[in-house]
Formats: sequence, structure tokens, C-alpha cells
Amino acid sequence: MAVDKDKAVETQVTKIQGYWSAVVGRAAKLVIASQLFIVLIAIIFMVLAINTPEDSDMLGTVGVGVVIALEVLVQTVVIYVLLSPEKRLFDFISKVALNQDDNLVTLNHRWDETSGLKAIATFIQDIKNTSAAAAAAAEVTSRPSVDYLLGAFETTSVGFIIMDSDLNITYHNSAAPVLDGYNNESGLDLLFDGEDTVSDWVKSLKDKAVKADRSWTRVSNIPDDNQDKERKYYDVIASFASGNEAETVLVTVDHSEDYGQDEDDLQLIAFAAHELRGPVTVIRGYVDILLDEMGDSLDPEDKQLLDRLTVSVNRLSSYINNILNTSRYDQRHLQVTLSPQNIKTVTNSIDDDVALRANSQGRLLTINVPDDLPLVAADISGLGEVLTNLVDNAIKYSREGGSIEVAASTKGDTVNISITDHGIGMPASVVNNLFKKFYRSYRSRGSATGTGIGLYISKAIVEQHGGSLSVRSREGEGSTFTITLPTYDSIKDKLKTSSNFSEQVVRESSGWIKNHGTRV
Amino acid sequence: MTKVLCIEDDRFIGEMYERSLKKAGYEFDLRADGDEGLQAAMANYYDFILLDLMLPNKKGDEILTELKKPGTIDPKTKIIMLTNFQQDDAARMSLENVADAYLIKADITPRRLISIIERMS
Repeated sequence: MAVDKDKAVETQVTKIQGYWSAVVGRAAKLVIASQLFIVLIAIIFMVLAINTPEDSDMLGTVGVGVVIALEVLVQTVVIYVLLSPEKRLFDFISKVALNQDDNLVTLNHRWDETSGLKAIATFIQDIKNTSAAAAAAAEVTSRPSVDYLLGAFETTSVGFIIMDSDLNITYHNSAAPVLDGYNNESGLDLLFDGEDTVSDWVKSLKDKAVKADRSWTRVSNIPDDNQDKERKYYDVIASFASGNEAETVLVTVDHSEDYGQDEDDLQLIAFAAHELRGPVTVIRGYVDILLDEMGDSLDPEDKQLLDRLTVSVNRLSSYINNILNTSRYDQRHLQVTLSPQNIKTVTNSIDDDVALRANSQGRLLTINVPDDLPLVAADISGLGEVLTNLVDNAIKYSREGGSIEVAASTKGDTVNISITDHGIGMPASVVNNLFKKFYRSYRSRGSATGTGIGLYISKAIVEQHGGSLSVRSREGEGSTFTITLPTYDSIKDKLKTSSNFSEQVVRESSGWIKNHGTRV
Repeated sequence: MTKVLCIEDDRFIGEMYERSLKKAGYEFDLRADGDEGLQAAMANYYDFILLDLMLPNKKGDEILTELKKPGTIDPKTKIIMLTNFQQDDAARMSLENVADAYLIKADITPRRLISIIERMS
């Protein structure tokens, strides 16, 4: 094909190059022929003048006049004939330019063919056709038909959701996670964490941003009550363009296969974790009995062995609770039971345990909680698990002999509980991902400890209290995790109508005790 | 003397509570079967019944329902559900309406259990 095409171009170019000589040849022929004709006329007059001497003067004058007139006429005709192909070429170019398809008709003279003029015209036509085809192709890409687009959207496994400025869903394709029968934001079959939802994001942008983009990873669909709906996990990309008819556009990519594996593993582990609780109960209980019955008679070394057993089984128990809580949280079955509590009650519920954990691993733990802090709405066991996780974390990322401080203070309508270590700290890149599920920094990956869910579930539990969990860290200097909780007074009106609130039930070690009239 | 009935099929766990509660001065009966446990509960007065959920022959929640029927046992008897299986909310709420406490075994030590019983006495 390419060789044929090259040959055709070569022939065409040879013809085009031959056009000059064709024109010169033709001009030469015409000029010689016309001049011969005029010379012939002049000779005729000269012969007539010789044969008729009486009229020779008149004939001479007439002859000169005729020859001059003929010369003018013939030259005009010659020039016209010589230039007429150029005129046809220019007409042709104009017609090509104006997309008039009958343009080649004017170049059907035989001379046009032989001289190479037609080759020039064909060449111009080819250029025009090529650019027109390119333009047409560009047209298809930039402005495909609506049917073409919708067809493509229906074929792809990528979901598209378009929402107007009131967050009504104006379009979605079949791959998009949208619940049947909804046309507003509650139709999004996406389970975002807490208040980090698409609609919260869009509302936060209103009147502030003209254009914005953001993305969410590992967003699951909403499970139904009887658990038979297939679980899906998406990455979601949103773009917002204020004032646009399609103000918010969501693109969802189904990553169920990648993320689902971790989730399946977690469900399996959660199932197994229930079984682990039996032996944990026994080990913990028997160590407790041994310490109770032999405590005073144990020498320090034996006491240390039993303490290490206690710490280890308590840590095992915390892991199990983290796994079960994560599994319940993901199934939307994790619920905190809030009641007015003093922070000190919460820290007292775990201080023996965390102090033993810290001391047996060579860390100096101080808990400094003032008595006069305002009450918070808390689930003692949930918040206790969070504090235990954060102290464990501080132990893990600090050095032997290092100190860890738990402190609490009040600021406005909130109470802050901070857990500070002076250990290895972490760079900003790690901080950004710290609360993500299954996230483990390169450090903990290296030492192969940590499940990657302790901080994730801690954040979730704090958020269920209406609070937040944040971290400040400097590499090489240590980290401070801060739990911020609203004071009970600032939210009590809202709480009393909430199903999470209970004054009748006091939470205790992942369980509860009914509060029979007196505060426990 | 405070009387405690424990209906628990895991012998290690049952005998663990038996040992510490007896040491702490409680009168303690242990049953490892749901049916037997229910009969014992109806035949004698107990201040506390420690009731496991997963039991052979009769499940803990069925026993709870039977015991809480008016006239079955002394209304002063307090029933503490002891389990290692975390219920979903609906099941937990239904227990919350009838039981006096609900504790995760793996999260409490015998000494902790005694302190809870003392608080509830």
C-alpha cells in the first residue's frame, strides 16, 4: 500500500513539474504560429503592392495597418489561450475552497490532462480531502451524539452520577451505585464515614468555591438489614462546578475485588475472634486468681512473669475487641450508649490496665486528669478502649524508658484528652493516612505488628460520641493524639432525644449494668 | 450470705467464678446445662444468677424469658448475662429490657465480677 501510494505521488509530482515545460512549449508553438500568420499576411500585401504599382502606396499603408491590427488581435488571443488554464485552475481552487463538489468538471480539457494541470488540481483536492477528513474525525471526538455517549456510559463499569445544585440526581448510568426510587442525595448507595459525605462536601463549597475536586477511597455501599446484599467498595471522585446545570459530577470505580479481600478476611477473623474470647477469659481469669491469692507471697521475679501474662492477655483482648468493633462498625452495628460521665471515671476504668502495660514495657505513664472538668456524654467502655488503643500506640512508637502523658483540659464547649509520647514521631505523609482502615506505616510493616485497625476504630468510636480524634507529630520528637469531646451541657438537649442516650444503663467493660436509681 | 447460681457450660470458666466467689464468701451453685440451670433457678432462691447465652439444651435468652415471667422466681433476684458473643443491637436491646446486666466474659476478671456484684447488691 505504502509503496503504491509513494509511486502515485511520484507520478503526480513528475506531472506537476512537467507543467512549466508544457506551458513554455505551448506558448512557443502559439507565438511562432501567430507570427508566421502575420508574416504571411504582410507578404500577401507586399506581393499585391509589387503587382499593382499604382496602388502600392495605398496597399502599403493598409497593409501596415492590417498587420498592426492583426498583431494586437493575435497577441490578445495568444495571451488569452495561454492563460486560460490558469483561470480554470483558480476557478477550481475557489470551488474546492467553497466545497462545491463538481469542481473537476472545468479541468476536463485534454491539455489539462497532458500538461500536468490536472495533477496540480488533484493534489490540491487531496490536501483538501485529507484535512476535511481530519476535521470530520475531530468533530466525532469532540461532539459525539447523545445516544453514542449514553451507550458508552451504559457499557462501562465506571459509574457516573450527575447532580444539580439541589443535589438532585439528574442522571446516573446503570453502573452507578444509586438506590432505586430515589432522585436526591439519599439515593447514593454509598456509605461515607461520619460527616465526610458528598453532600457535606458540596454544602461546604457553596458560595465559597467555583470549582473543586476531591476523592474518597474504599467507600462501601449501604448494607441492608438482612445482610444478603452484596458488599461493594468504590473509589469515588467528585467534581464541583458552581452554577453549572450539572453542578456535581461523581465518578465511581468499583474496587470490590481489591478491597473486598481485606473485608472478607476481617469478617473471618471477627468470626474467629469470638472463639478466641473463651480461652482469653480463662487465661485472664486464672492469672487474676493467682495474683489475688498469691500476690503477697510472690517474689518480684514471679510477680513480673504474672504481670507480663496479664499485659499480654489484656492486649490480646484489646485486639479482639478492635476487630469485633471494626466488624460491627462496618456493618453499622456499633452503637455507643452515652450517659453523662466524668473523664476521671473513664480514665479510672483503664488506669490499672494501661499503667501495667506501660510499666511492664519500661515506659513511664502519667495520667493527669483534673477533678473539676465538665461532664461529657460518654460510653465508658468505648472511650476506655480508645484510650487503651492510644496508650498502646504510644508505647509501640516510643523507646524503652520514654515517658507517656495522658492529660485532660477544657476549652470552650469541649473537653480535650491528650496522649503524648516522645518517641519516633512520624512525617506528614504518614499522618495523613493514619486513621485509614488497614493502614500501617512503613515502620509497623517492618516490625510486622499492628492490625491497622486500632486507630481507625478509635476514630470511629470518638466520632460516635460527636467528637473528633486528631494528631500532631514531629518526626523524631514524638506524637500527641487528642480526643475532643463536646461537654455534656452543650449537647444534652440533642442527646435526650437520641436512641444512644441512656440514664438507666451504665456501660461497663463492653457490657452494661442497669442503674437502679443510684448513680454507680 | 449472698447466693449465686452460675449457669455456664465451659467448665474452666464456671469453676473459675466458683473458686473466686466462694473465696470471697459467696454461696455458689454451678450448672453446666440450660435445662438443669433453669430447674435450679426455680427450685431455690438466689440473689444473683450468672447466665451464659450459649448453653446446651436451653439457650440463655430462653431461660431469661422463663425466669422473668411473673411469679417464677423472686423479683429481687438479679440476672447478669455473661457472654462472649457480641449481639447485634436488636438482640441486645431485647435483653436490656429484661436482664439486669450484660457483661462480656473476656473483658472482666473474677475480681471485677465480684466488684460488679457488690455494686449491684
